[in-house]
Amino acid sequence: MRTSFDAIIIGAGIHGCSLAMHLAVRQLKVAVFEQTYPARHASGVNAGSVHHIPRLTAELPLAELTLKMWHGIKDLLDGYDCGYRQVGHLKIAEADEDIEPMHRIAEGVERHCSIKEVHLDRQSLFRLEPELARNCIAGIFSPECGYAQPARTVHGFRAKAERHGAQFFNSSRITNARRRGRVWEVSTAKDVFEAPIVVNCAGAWGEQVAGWAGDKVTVRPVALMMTVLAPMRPVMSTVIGLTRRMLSIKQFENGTVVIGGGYRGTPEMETGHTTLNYSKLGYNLRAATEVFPVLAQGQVVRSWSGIEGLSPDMLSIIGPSANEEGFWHSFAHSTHGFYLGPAVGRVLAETIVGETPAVSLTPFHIARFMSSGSA
Amino acid sequence: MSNTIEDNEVDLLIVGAGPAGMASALQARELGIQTLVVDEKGQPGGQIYAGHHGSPDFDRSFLGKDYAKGRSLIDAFMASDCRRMFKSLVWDISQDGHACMSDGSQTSFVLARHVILASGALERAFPFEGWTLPGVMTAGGAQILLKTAGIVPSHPVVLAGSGPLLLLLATQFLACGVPVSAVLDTTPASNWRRATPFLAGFLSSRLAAKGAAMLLRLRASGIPVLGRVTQIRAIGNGKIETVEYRHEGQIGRLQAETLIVHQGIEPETRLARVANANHAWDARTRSWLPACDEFGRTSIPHISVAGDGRAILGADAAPATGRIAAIDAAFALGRIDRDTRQRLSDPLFKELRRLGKPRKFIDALFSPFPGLYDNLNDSTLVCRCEEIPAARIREEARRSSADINSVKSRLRCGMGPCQGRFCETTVRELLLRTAVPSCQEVGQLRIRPPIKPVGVEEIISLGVKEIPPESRIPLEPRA
Repeated sequence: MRTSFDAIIIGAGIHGCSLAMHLAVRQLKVAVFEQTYPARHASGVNAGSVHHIPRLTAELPLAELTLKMWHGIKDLLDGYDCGYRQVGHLKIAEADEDIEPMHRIAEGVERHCSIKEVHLDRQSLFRLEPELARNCIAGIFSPECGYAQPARTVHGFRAKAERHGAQFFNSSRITNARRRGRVWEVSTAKDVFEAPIVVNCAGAWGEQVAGWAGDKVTVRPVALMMTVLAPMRPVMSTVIGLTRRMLSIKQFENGTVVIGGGYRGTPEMETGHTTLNYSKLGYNLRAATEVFPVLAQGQVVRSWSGIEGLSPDMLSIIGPSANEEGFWHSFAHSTHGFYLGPAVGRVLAETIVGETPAVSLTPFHIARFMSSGSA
Repeated sequence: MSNTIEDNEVDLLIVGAGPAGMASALQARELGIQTLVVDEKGQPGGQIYAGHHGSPDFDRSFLGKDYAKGRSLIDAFMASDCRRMFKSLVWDISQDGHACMSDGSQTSFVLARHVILASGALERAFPFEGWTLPGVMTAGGAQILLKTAGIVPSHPVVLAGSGPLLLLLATQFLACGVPVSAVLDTTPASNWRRATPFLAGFLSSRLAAKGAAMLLRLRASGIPVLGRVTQIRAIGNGKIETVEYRHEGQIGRLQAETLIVHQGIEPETRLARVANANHAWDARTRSWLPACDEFGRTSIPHISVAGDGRAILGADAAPATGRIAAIDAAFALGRIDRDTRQRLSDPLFKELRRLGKPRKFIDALFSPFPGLYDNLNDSTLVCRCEEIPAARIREEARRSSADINSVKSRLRCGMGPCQGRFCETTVRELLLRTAVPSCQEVGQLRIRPPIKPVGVEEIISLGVKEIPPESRIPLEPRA
């Protein structure tokens, strides 16, 4: 007899694990299939930033909900500490010409959601971060944001999902999914499992999985590079970003400093291996030292990158298949995935079981990439 | 052919100037291959022949004949016209042959058409109660101080553990007048039973005579050598004061200023791993070895391994593996044909077979035995960088995947500056014991560049100065 479940989730990243948890607490019998182990790629090896990305206004309602969930993440995960620290996010203007666009971004956030932002002049900027380079002239501070430990967070969701009966199959790559009547047959190299609901949480690998439901979208895999410095004395207290160039810096409680921002190495999808690009990585570290000169004295302990998927419009793909009943998507989160994880799992679970979702997922449906003919 | 290096390109890059790397370089130059040898340390010789060259001058005769014979190889290497770079760390090798090399203040790229990794070995990490106390050191560390600077440890000294190096060090201390209170041999009876079938191969080698002579010298000196010792503990307030151990059912205690421990050596494979070469589990020595053919060629066609970094064969065999790898590199570079490669390698293979005969006995006798990790206290630190005790590793193994990289991502063990040098073996053995998966399921730590810490400014120097176009944030918010 075949093993059957209420829902089969493909991929045990933050989205697979969050969704598994939110479905399992709603009494669904859930199975999660993972080709390696939970949090192997972008979910586990991102820089851990928890702040909204205000460039995409369609995302802001979801961003607002997820931020509230981060604030209560310890309770959500039954007391488990995933390392979430609400230290605030500071976006910095490095030059006069940054100020106007920085304010425009802030206005966009104010218009579309209630996430609080504080405008800082030069003096209050240096009061908050005294070690900033003197050329920095202003900033926008989001006190509700912070950072978390990525791999621990994914495992927090996984553990709660398991406590509610979800089953995780590691080292189990799904090779195909086909619908027979109301039931989906999902195959690994060895076995076939079945469920009326299948959810594609396969991240950068989601394009192929979507194809099993006849949904066509091009996902661009990228390997975003991150660097960790050996522990230093406390040099910053907030999560740092810039207005015009990509950069993300934060110092963890153990004194290590993680530098990222979205500079790309080269991914290899078959092996999961990634190769660093030192000309960009070098620039990434240069940008960090231009904002925090003290970092130039640091020692690089490791640089790495995790593989994640970009959708054509840089907005997540979440919601029902455009072609098939019972097939759902939550992938290609386009560098915003870690932050959005808690809320996307919840809202998609609400949608799947027929509850009224807290936020509409319509802007995220995969159908937006397909002409009406194929949908 | 000349050996000048232009445009940071080289035919052959050899990483490590120990016996394998030096012999490899000599062989490569004999075949006319443009060669660059890079070593982290300030002088050639590797760990085994450290101190022969470029260190303070003092009488090193107490180190013995095997040490003395490294001299001729070093002299030949230093006289050769290969290019040498000391105090330089190769910290990343990409699959297209680019090596990142740091001299401590500056990193440069070298494009190598072929690479031989002769990275040598590391002492196997094994934690026990009190192992992090000042005054506890490894035999390898103690021996390097002795070889390079003639520094002897504060005494009384106790030596504990298993493996040939421990006995060798005891005799070297004896020869230079360092008082040794005792040698506590932890090799269990089960290892002797496993090794006995291979005794004949060992007895026919010169290592048997050497081992016997060392034991006789220790016995004659009156230093107690206790066998089948278990449960070593280091006790002290702020530094080691007492060594406690169990022997023949009794707890014994010895006063000590220094406790020197050793549990054998393992290949240092971090560069092979950072290059993403395949590795294979070797059940006999309980370690992951770079997967390679008989010439040392890895799964990456332009990367070879030689010496103890390929598999532990010792200093006598290292030059042969180094020469074989260099001959094969000449073949890979199109300088010699297949037949010539075979003809040149055959005598070396023959020598390796001869030198390999005692190896099965030694590997079985000194392989990591169950008790080494079974009796580890829950509270003993396993990962020193991130301060992770044994209990947390056992707990994680029970709770979720026992893949060592998954455990690393949850607990951070292996994420510190040492990237698992001091904990990987222990973590692996604990996972194997707790969750009972196979070694394949546990796997090996993924090594991230740089393999050892490098200054931020060195990496900046590799980067572009202008903002890469796709790294500008679009200023208009998008609907």
